Amino acid sequence: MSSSRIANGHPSSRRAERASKNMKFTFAPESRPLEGYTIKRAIYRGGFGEVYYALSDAGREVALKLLQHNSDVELRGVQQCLNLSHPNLVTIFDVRQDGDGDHWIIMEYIAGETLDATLRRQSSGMPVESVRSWLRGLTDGMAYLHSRGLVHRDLKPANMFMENGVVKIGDVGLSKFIAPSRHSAQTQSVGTVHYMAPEVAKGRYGREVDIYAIGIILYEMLTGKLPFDGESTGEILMKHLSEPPDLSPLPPRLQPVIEMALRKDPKERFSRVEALQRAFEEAVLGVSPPKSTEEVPAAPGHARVPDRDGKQDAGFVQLPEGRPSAKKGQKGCATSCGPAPGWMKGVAFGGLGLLVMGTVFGWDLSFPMVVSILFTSGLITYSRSKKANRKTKLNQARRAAAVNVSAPQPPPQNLRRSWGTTGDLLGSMFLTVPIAAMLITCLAALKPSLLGGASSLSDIDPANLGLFASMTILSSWALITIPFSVLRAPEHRFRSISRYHYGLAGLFVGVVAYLIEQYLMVSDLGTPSRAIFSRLGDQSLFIDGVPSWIGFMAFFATLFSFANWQEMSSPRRKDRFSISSVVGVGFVAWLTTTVFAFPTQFGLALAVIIACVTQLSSPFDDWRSKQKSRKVA
Amino acid sequence: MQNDRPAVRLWIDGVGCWLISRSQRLTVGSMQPASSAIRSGGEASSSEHIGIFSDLRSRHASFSREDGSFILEPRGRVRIGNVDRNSAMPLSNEAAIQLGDEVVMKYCLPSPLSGSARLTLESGHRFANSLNGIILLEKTCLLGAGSQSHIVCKNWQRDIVIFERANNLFCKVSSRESSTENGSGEQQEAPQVLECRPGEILSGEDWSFHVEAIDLPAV
Repeated sequence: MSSSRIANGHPSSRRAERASKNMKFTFAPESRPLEGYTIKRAIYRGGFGEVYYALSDAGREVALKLLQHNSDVELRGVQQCLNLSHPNLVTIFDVRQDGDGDHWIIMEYIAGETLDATLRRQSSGMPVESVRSWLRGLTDGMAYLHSRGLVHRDLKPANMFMENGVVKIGDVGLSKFIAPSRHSAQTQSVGTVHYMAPEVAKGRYGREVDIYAIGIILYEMLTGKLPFDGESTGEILMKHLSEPPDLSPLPPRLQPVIEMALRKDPKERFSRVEALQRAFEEAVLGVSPPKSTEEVPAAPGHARVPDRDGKQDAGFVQLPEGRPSAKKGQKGCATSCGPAPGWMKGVAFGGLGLLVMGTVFGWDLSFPMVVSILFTSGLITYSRSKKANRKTKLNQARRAAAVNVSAPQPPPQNLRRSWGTTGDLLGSMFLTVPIAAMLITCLAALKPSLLGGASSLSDIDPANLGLFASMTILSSWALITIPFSVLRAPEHRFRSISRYHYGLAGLFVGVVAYLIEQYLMVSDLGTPSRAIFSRLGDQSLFIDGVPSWIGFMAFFATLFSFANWQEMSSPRRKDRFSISSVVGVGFVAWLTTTVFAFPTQFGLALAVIIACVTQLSSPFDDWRSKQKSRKVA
Repeated sequence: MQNDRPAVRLWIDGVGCWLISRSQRLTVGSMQPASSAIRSGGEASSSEHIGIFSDLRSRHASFSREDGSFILEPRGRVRIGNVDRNSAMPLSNEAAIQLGDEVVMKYCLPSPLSGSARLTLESGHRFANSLNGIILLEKTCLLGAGSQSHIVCKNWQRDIVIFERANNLFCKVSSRESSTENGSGEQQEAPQVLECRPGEILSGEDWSFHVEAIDLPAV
């Protein structure tokens, strides 16, 4: 018979208890291995030792961890964490030695459930809102640890607790210092193999090890499954080292985020845990991740509604469509409007195109102009109301549901080439010049009056031509450089670029335009528009046939701020060249000239040419075709 | 008169700390001042009190036994199923009992073969005395890995039944079929019955718990 009875487990009989073959844990209840603490029960046995629930003589609850290997590495690691204090890290109170020379860690006792237990209850994946809560606490705790130059090395669900809504990360005592350069101070293999980064096999421990583990944990929380599993440790390790994760069970918009966290090469992962969390949040909330950075056109998402017990219902509730990455072929919403029926867009763009043409060629288009304005206003109102509606639905769905997306597309395999290299940028900038020259030549030949009121090609003022060409090239350079510099870091590529960036660039270009105008002594750029503002403060926007410095700044800042330039210069835009984007820019330019006094024809022509040159010269990664090829393959 | 059916606390390795209550009435509420406590070895009281670290009345609600079922008697604000309850009512399985504004307690009858009930806190609050939960014992209480156990011990390979006989607590370790070394046959271990005396540690191959008498304040 295997059961036994130990009467009155007193501390004096500790040796006998240790020797008892039936005891699962070394110390029995009521043992006092350390002065001042009484063990009440065992909590668990981990790879680094046994953990007990104990009460101090004053009644304080603590967790006592017996370090069974007692290696210097472990002790040193624990000592480094003794004075860490963060609400998301389990506090280590002290390290003590018992009478037998064994080392004990005295730590904060956490009564809350481990993530491991939560995952066992929710075996088909957790609601995204819960995942976000866990990730927030995890990020805060790990960011603090990393900021102190420490890595955890053993992040796993069993080490993470949730107590009263606060995430607590345990086993920080196993952390070690980040090696300043090559992460190779330690070759000992630690951590749990399911969450172990590939480079750990080579004895490298940077903070990327923790980011990889968080990527695995996120995958597990979202799907209920591990990305790399197998029959043996060797098989799992091999998968970590060589096999790409199967991202198909993940919601499509989260696939790029998890994919990046699970890169084999630590240099290609998010460099900081905060960047991972930000990318995750943006992907979940759809906070304007620009269309250009979308990796996968995806089927609409679905949310599962938890039932009364928190279990997920078999029925799916479709999430509201229109999230940037959730609708196939949908336009990006970084700076443009929300979804509208195709025919509405067609009529609106047709009207706008007609308006621009009429302005350029001097047609009388009062009626189409009124219709276009009314229609565009309607379109914007419609889109805004739909967007608001969508937001409300999304919030409702978030409250009630967990996001789980069905029918996901295969994940992108080549996400590394997001914004190219400096060479790509320089190549694009160089390409701008001949393209601009070609287009301006065509424009001058077809409609010379647009370049300052000349009646024929020979009448064009070289100063006007020089100003037009230099402004086209300079503007295109600025518009190509902004996304390259802002979104170059891989972890930033999910960002949308703020209008302020473009606005500032517009101000700069406006100042340079004025200086070039002064340098070239431009005398006439055409009749100024009848605008709402002909002066700003005491400054006139148009003086002696040419815009003043403030006139240039107002025009370019407005044009840069309100047109969707990111969609025209992103390497991952839908099409290399979009006519509708050009028409949109023309419309914004026309609106600008109705607000600020500026030569209408000159401004319209300049904006349209800039849009064309920017699209034609900026890098373009035809990822859709590649993806189709991969699918076929 | 002495309380001849005192509550005990089970410190179960790898699981938690559970109260086995056998009194006729159990009261829950905020923590009571130490001066109000009466040792269970002293004069018998009508009700045992379990404190909850929360903003409740000192005696917020009581659970009493009646014909093998449990009756809830509200004394403070109690809601069940979003309905305020002001009078005594029998409890049904899986009832979520809201005490005050924040505390949510779950009443559960996990095993159809036992009338014992389980009380746990679902709102993140904690019982006093390091308790993870309370068993209102009605003859038997099952410990094991299955979901029908009163105390779920997820890594245990066999079940243990705690039962009451002549006012004393006993535990019965279930039998287990195990293969012989050569795999040629099977041998059956007979169930074993041990008395759960306070102060004793009972253990098996993969289980262990300490039985401890507990001094609960009486109200």
